[in-house]
Amino acid sequence: MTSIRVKKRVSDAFALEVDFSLGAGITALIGPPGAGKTLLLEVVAGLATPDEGRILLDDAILFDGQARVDLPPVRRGCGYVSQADSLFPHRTLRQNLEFAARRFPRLERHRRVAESIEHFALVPAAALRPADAGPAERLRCSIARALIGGPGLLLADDAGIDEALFGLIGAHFRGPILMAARDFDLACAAASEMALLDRGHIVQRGVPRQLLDQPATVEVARLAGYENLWQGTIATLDRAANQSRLEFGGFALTVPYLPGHLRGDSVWVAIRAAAVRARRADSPPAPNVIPAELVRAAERAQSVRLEFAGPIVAELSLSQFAGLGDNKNWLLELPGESLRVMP
Amino acid sequence: MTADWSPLWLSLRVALLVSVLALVVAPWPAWLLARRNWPAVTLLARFLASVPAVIVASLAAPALTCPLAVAAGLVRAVPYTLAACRTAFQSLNPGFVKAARMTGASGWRIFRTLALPLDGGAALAAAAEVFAETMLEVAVALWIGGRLSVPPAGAILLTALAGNALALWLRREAAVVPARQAGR
Repeated sequence: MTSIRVKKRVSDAFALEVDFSLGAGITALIGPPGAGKTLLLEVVAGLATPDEGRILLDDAILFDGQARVDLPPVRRGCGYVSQADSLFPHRTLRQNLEFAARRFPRLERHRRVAESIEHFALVPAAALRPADAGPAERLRCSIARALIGGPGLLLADDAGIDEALFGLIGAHFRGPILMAARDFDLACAAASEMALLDRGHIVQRGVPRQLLDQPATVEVARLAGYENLWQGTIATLDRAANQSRLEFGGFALTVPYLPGHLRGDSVWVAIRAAAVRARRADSPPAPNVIPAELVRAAERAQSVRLEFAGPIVAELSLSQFAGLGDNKNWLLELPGESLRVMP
Repeated sequence: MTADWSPLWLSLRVALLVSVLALVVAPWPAWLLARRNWPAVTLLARFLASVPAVIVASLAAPALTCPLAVAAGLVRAVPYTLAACRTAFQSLNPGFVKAARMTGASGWRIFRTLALPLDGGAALAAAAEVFAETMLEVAVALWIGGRLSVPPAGAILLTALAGNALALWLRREAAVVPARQAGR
């Protein structure tokens, strides 16, 4: 089992405090800048020392605050790809790999370096210094350098590794990968699990799709890119009709019954801009349809982003917008199934 | 009448010895100081490096022999080189150090294979400055002792000027290299 339970106080305002286990495959660590992603990776790698806690990799203890075990980075069996380019600038790509493989006997070292160069398609660039190689080659070399010692866990800090590169890594390395990322699309495409880190704490974790569709808190919804987030109060709760009525500043919405809540409770509601539907003002009244005043319309490559007073943001396809564009008065439908209610 | 050129040889010998010794002694402690903070050591180095040259020179003046002059010169030269190297080493990309630590490289190995090749230029520049300054210091001491005539004094000044020019050039090179290392 690979598990990480650590506390590290950095300042009065920030402390890293996480407790989670790592499954096989890729776990994406998502969070805003300053959430503690890099610090968490460095703590696991042994480059930063936590105040307390315990880190296990395949049941081997890497760090134990109580037992005073704190293995040095090289004995932890972790490969680390840093966020910034950290290849040694005065050495060629091959020499960078040789540096990392130095602890192996000569023949073994040559074999590992040759294999890495072959596998990561570095043959043409091996004799170049980093400044003379392309960014893609530098990144592949950084990954090769992190993997050359045969680690049991790969830590990748928002290094810009894309899906294709993860495929290349997967052909060479079977262990778990913990990657920090800001890019949700990449996390969805590559990761089997996602953990959201905010101000040093993991606020939600799960399969990427579930995390995006069912944010547990308003912070998660914000991170997950929900454009519309409104705070309101519960006006009525009707268990029999499976209905709750939520009131906001200028409008009200009906959602399914909210168990575990009381009337008057404050809740957050989130909906993606793409889920908001626009209608003609003369269309018949329906639940969750509200009148709205258009403030701004901005054309995107494939869509139109509409900002209404409220504020409410909607995203329409170009053809939809063309059909409604001359409309002065807008009606917006906020479909109940697309509304996410959070405490 | 021929001038007595022995003061020039003495200051050359002393300045060379002092700068080479400072270059040998200072970088490793500077590397250790760059990676952690020992305020007392930093303060002491700063203080010693700022002791006015005239004081050192006049203390050594009455019986200025080569070993004595070298010892007097080192009092300022070592802290000065140390401070210069420390500043240079502090600018070393921490990512390089982390990457090296991940591979199990020791502090000494990181110093030898990363810090010196990447930031050693600053140490050389500091040594060149120390050379120029020590030349002048010895000259001042000899002057106070009344052992310096005009022709060797002129030669000493010119050599010191050359040392400073070398220091400037080395410093510029040392500044250019990191910019190149940053890559594209």
